[in-house]
Amino acid sequence: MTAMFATLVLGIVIGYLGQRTKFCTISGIRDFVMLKDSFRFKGLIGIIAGGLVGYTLFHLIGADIPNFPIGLDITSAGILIAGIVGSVGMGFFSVFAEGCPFRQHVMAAEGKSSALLYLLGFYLGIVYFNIVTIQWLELLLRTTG
Amino acid sequence: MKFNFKLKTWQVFGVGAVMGIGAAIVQGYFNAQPPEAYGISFIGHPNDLFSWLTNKIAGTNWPIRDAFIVYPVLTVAGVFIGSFAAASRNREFRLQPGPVRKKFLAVIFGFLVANLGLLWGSCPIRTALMVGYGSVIAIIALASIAGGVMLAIVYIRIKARKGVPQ
Repeated sequence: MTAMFATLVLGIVIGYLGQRTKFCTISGIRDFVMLKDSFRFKGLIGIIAGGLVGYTLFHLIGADIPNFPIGLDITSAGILIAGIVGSVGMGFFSVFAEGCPFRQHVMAAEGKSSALLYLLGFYLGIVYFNIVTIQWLELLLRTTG
Repeated sequence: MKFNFKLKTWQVFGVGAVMGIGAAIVQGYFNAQPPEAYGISFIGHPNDLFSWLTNKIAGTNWPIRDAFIVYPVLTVAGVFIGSFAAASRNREFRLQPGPVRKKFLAVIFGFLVANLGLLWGSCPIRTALMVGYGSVIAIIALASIAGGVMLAIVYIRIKARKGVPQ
């Protein structure tokens, strides 16, 4: 139950901060590539830096941070294929949606109708994934070992 | 002016750092695992919450990550509360159109991002967290996300050159 409340509190904190700074990972990459503007890109760097420092520090002081660092975790060709296809597609369509999934949740809470419609499609997508796409994924993982 | 700009720049970096350290705390001290580096995920957590609710209400058996089988993950609810509070406090909450002009396309983009994101299993934030965790596949995935963004930019530039409206 502690994880449930911890994620709620962390969600409130990052939701508040994310709304104030217009934090978005996809826009960060897009602005950096398209306009050479590193303003939002620094957020992505911040996650990697914060994660690296946090996981290293808590691992050293004995918190429950197992398998750190993970290292080479490509267990099958299927996982690699699914990872690359999924990531490229997510990056591609998130540019047209004008934001990463986190940013869309924040914009929906600001009252932006296109973000609310995005989330309608997003949660319908989750239903479709759990009924249809997951079977394709399992087939891919079976055939590639 | 210059000072303000620098401050804002560091604020965005700071938010990222808060996410990274917060995710490490949630994992290390509040058992938000397995899997590793799962303190924040805007693909995995919405899927886990939605699947948890569907399993409870409709009796389905959709897969949920081990950490959130008994009690649901509430990051999504927290973000709604936090960003709504921030928007309301600063008088920025109001019903408005949003960045995607065609409503149908917004639904389609959400649908596609959910499916493609679940295929990889992580949103860009968790992918970056996994890079911090030392995962090689996350480095490849983050590069692939950047590749997808670049492809979209190329597509937009070609469309703009041809003068076709988006």
